[in-house]
Amino acid sequence: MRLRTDYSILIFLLLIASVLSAWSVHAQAPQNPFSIGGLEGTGGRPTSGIAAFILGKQAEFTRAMTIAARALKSDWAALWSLLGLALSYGIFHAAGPGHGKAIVAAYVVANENALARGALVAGLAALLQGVVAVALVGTITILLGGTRQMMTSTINIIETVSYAAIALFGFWLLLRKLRSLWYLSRNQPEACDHVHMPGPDQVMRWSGRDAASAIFAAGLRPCSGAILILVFTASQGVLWAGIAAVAAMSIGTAMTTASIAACAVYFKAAAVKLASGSSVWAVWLIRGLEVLAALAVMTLGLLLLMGHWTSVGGA
Amino acid sequence: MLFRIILLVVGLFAMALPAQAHPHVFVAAKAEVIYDGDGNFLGVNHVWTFDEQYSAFATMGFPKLADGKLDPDKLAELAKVNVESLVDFGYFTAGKAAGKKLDFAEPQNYRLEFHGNALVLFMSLPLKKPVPGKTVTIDVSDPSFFVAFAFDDANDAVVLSRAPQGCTLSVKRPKESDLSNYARLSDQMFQALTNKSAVSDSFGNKAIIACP
Repeated sequence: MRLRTDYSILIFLLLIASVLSAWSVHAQAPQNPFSIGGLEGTGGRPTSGIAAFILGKQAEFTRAMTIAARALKSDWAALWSLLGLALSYGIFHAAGPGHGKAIVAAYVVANENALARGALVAGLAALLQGVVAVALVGTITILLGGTRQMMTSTINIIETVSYAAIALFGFWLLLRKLRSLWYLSRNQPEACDHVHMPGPDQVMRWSGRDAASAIFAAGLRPCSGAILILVFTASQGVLWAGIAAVAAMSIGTAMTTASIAACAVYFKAAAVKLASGSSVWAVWLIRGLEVLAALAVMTLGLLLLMGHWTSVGGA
Repeated sequence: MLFRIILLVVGLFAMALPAQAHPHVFVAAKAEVIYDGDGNFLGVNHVWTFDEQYSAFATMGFPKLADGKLDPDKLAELAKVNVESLVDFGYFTAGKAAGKKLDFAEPQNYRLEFHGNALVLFMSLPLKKPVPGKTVTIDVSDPSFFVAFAFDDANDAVVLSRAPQGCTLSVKRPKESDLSNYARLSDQMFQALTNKSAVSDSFGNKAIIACP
């Protein structure tokens, strides 16, 4: 109980710090004049062939989706090409930038997770992203008849909250992992051959709260591509097609993130397997790995909040 | 053994690294390169046509007039906001004349129009001081790559106005067709993986003018 109070004070302080820093970010970093919202536009030109390929594909899909959405007004068959394009867009989009996959991967590493659970978290995060986009456009465009400024500033706020959520999620994971590390040091097993190692498939526990935090942190910020296709289809009077396209995009995104989650599960399982049966230091290694994963997520969230994305993580 | 574990750990973190930014806004650009008739380069008249998705986004919630056209006052307001915030981004226009960086003054005569389904920004960008225009390079692009600029496919995407006789003009657009080729895991791709500048260069959107 005591410990819980400490947590909430720390979390509260961190929240204040993040709001303050977010405030200064938006004061400092000028937003791209043609921005959709947030700081998504920072990063720089692609520096590798793979990144260039992903970019080129996305540009193609965006154009083709515009054409398909317009054709839909007179030709229903265009719906299938729109959905196919949206699915591919989602797959490529998730492979590109975005912090969603980093969080899902870190979540999987920091928790003893089975493949199916990692995939579920990835899928729900992608679903949440789609739902947020539909809710935003539905409320601002359809209900309020709002302008681009209203949309952009709303996305800015959501983005700030999502970055704070990432930092908090990482912070929370870190505390828990450090505690288990501390516990390990206090209960150092005698040099015997009964080192307690979680097996690759052994699931220690399934924390719904952990999963929910990961989903929230990874899926809160809507994707600009989804916002754009929704606003565009609404302007063409076929918003329902835009919603269908966003659903397809979410499925595509989930496919990519889930495969990254699967890789993370595999990597961790392999590391555990390699280390198991060797010695006590292997236990430390695994726990250390978890702490690192949590630390990485927290740092990512803080960097995003401070807007140092470009200089540190971008290019 | 230790090595294999380290390899796995590195792999795990590399996977989670963020990738680069990617464009959400596409602009087909046209440019008129202005000379003074005496071989001096004065500035650029831009015409930027935005993609339909962004055009719908930028004008959402704008009131329409009886004839179905967008309220011109709202468009004028938006043009002002756009142009004012373009200052922080160097008007997405960089370049050199006779080896020196171009220094642009504030844009003039800017306006937004709606053509078909597309928003079009007109903007005159004069240099602070006229410069000798023997060799001029004009790069129209967004370094953060959020907006993908490409000169229009039309032959008149870049035109010279009052330039001296015998000037040559070459237009370099970002090579999207090259990008599609990467899908075939061509030699180009492996080249690109090892040669960063080659990829960066294929995204360039430039007009190069050489006068006698």
